[in-house]
Amino acid sequence: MQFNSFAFLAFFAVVFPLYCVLNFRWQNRMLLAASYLFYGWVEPRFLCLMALTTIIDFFIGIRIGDAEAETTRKRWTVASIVMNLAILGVFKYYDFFALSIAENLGRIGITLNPLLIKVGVPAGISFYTFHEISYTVDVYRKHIRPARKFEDFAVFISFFPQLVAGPIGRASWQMPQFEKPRRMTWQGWCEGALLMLFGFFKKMAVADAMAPFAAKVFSNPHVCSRSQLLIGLYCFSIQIYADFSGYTDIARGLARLMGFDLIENFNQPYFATNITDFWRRWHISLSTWLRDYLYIPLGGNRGGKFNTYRNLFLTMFLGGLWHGASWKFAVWGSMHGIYLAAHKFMMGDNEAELKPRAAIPSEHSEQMAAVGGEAARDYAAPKNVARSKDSWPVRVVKTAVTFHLVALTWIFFTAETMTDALAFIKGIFSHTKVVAGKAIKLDMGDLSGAAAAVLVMILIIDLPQYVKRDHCAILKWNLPVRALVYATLFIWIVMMRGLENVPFIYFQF
Amino acid sequence: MFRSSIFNFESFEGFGPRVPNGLLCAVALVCCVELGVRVAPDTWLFPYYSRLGFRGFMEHEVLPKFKEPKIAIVGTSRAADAFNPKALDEALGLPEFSTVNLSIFGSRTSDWLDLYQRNRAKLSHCKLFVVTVDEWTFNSGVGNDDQFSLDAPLADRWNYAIPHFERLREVSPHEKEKQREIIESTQLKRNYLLADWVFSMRLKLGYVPQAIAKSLKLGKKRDPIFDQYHMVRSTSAESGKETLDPKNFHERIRNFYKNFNPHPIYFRHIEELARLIKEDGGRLVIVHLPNRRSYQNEVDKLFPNEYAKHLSVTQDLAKRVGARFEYRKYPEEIGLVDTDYEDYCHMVLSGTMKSTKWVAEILRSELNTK
Repeated sequence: MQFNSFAFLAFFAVVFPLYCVLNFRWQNRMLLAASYLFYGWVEPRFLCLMALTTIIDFFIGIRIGDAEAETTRKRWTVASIVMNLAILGVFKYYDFFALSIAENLGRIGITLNPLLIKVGVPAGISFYTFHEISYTVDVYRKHIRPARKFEDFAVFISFFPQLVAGPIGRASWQMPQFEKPRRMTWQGWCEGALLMLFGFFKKMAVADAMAPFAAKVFSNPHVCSRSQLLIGLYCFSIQIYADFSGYTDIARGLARLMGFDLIENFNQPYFATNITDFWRRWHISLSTWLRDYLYIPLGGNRGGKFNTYRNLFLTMFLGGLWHGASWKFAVWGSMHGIYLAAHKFMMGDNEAELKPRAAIPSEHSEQMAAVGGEAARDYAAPKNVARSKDSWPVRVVKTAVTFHLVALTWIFFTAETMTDALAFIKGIFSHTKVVAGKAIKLDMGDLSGAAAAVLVMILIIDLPQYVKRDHCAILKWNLPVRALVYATLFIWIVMMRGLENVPFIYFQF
Repeated sequence: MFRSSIFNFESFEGFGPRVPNGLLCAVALVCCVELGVRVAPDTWLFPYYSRLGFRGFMEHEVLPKFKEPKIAIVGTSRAADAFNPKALDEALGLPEFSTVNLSIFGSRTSDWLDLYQRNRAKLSHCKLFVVTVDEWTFNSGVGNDDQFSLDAPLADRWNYAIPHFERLREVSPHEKEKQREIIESTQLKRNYLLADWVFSMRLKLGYVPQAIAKSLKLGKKRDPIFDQYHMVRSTSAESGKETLDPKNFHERIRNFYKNFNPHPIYFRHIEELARLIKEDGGRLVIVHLPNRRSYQNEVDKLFPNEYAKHLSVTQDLAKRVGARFEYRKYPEEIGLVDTDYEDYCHMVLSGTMKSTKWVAEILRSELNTK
């Protein structure tokens, strides 16, 4: 079920009032049923798979919590991780690797007809698998106690706002919220509604308006002029940000309405002044997950410079593959790995550039620590992102450079094939002229409309959030301006009339 | 407040509701905008060159020139460029200003019915009413349906997707997947139609800047031109070499045929139109013009079944309403050559003369039929 569909509107119109009147235990049960209905709407075939892994991880969690011997605890943790990764591997990667191996063996004359599963990738499997691993590891690390009530754990795994595209839930932050009664507040409702308004605007007015241009250019890179390729690339860079951060805003808004607090996932990533800064602002739930459950266990920066660079590269390479079973995602991740390693190399011992400066005191951070323990404090990432001390012209240049470096990686992320991606890059950097009569046409009128929406997004949403370091800064503006902003965003959303319900990009992962 | 062990509103403890001033003001603003575009007269809001304004141009600038038209032609931009009323009058031996071409670019069945209903006093003089259909005329998968989106009754909007659900039961299992896609697209369109019913600003607000510019006499005048051939040529034709590359036709063809599904609501419009014409003593003729050969070849490759279905449902419709249906699939059948076209279907003057000659033969025999 897509958030931007009437089916979801009807779904939430039933779920939310019901949620409001129920007591906390029944809220969890109802949310569990609603989440399974939400998921079953998209993937009825794979409901059992999610239920199965949930049941297994629930019991493993109890075993880890009850065991006293470290080896037993470790054994159960490994069993859970292996089981989760095996399921992810089979459903998401098996066909891809089997075909890749067969293809490569074919090149040296060995014919292999691998047995393929061909059932498709279950929606959201990458996300809920990471929820489950986070839970098991957090229980093992004693950041949280194991859930004793199955419904609490099951609803944490399947919570519908974040089920299919995140933010990736962190057990130590979220589980306590499912185990205790939530309190709905007026402030929470205001913030929730505002975040949803932002999310729908980003998705429907910006991302969906950019999508046709990006799609047209990326499906025909061979017949595009350099300027068209650049337009397509900028359009996709904006589209993926507006699409994914829009989804996150809606998810967080829905959760806020119900009294939950999901971790922030985006913090104006395109305002980043270097690549490390970018990854503190982009898909924060994934980058912190990778840091805590992959980069640090790999050794982090503890084994010398070379090992640090290797770990960074490996983490981002695997992070790339997490997005999908394709070499293009691996290349995308690898490029980011190289960028991060190179940035770390250039910065040398200047750790101040790489680490967030002293945590800015923030209610959010304290509140997170209070509920989820010290381990959860880090998730209040946006408040902790330090600003560069550079003068503004230098910051603008650094921001532009970072944006273009990131944009370059999107080519591999979204091109249909590696050949297309390479042709795209070649087209940008060479003077090849498109054969007359073969070039594609981009509707500049529609593009101007889409650009106006981007401008509104930057001026009304991103800049105030960046300056005030508050995702709901608008709530503090004076009444006429606030009303004008709400009305403008709403009317803009209402005006959109695309012919297709464009699915969220991250639904495919 | 009612409380039980299950329903106890416990989440609301300490909720502290306040008057949502910001929200109320925003709602008031949205209502003002909606009311504003609803009360704005169409003649002010829609400039003549726009799709929704073109009808006004036809009604206020073209139709008054014709006192008692004998033949009226409606259709899309293709028909606007294909039929020369002055030449038709001459070919049929009718006095000047007997044939009026009221074709509106991007128009559909509801526009033609609407045009007839609004101008019935004048159009009831017509002995022949020619409807020029396109491949997408009855297809619910095509989106440009602005006038219908503004004027359709609520029942039509609400029931828009229902016939498709009914059809799902009839199709074979291997066609079910395709039918589901069609249903999805029809549901989306139904949702848009409902949204348009609530918020007419969805269509109208975009015209406000143009209307203001027009009122202030800013920008250059772009009104359509009623020319010496009594034609109002469309500006829809595309130029440039790239528009003629068969591969570049694919996107357009897919747009026209995607989720191809002739929808009963559009047939109903023609049925109603036929009833009115019959009541007024006229006769309905349905024609379908050939596309450029290179374009039609691509259609034959990509969507042959859909094209055949379009023809067969149009034939059935014509039979139902007692109208004559004439079509030519390939341009050479009426002597058209590649250079007679400006793009995939719009004709230059040489093509206009050939297609006018072809339709004149049809109309002559119809006029001679008692």
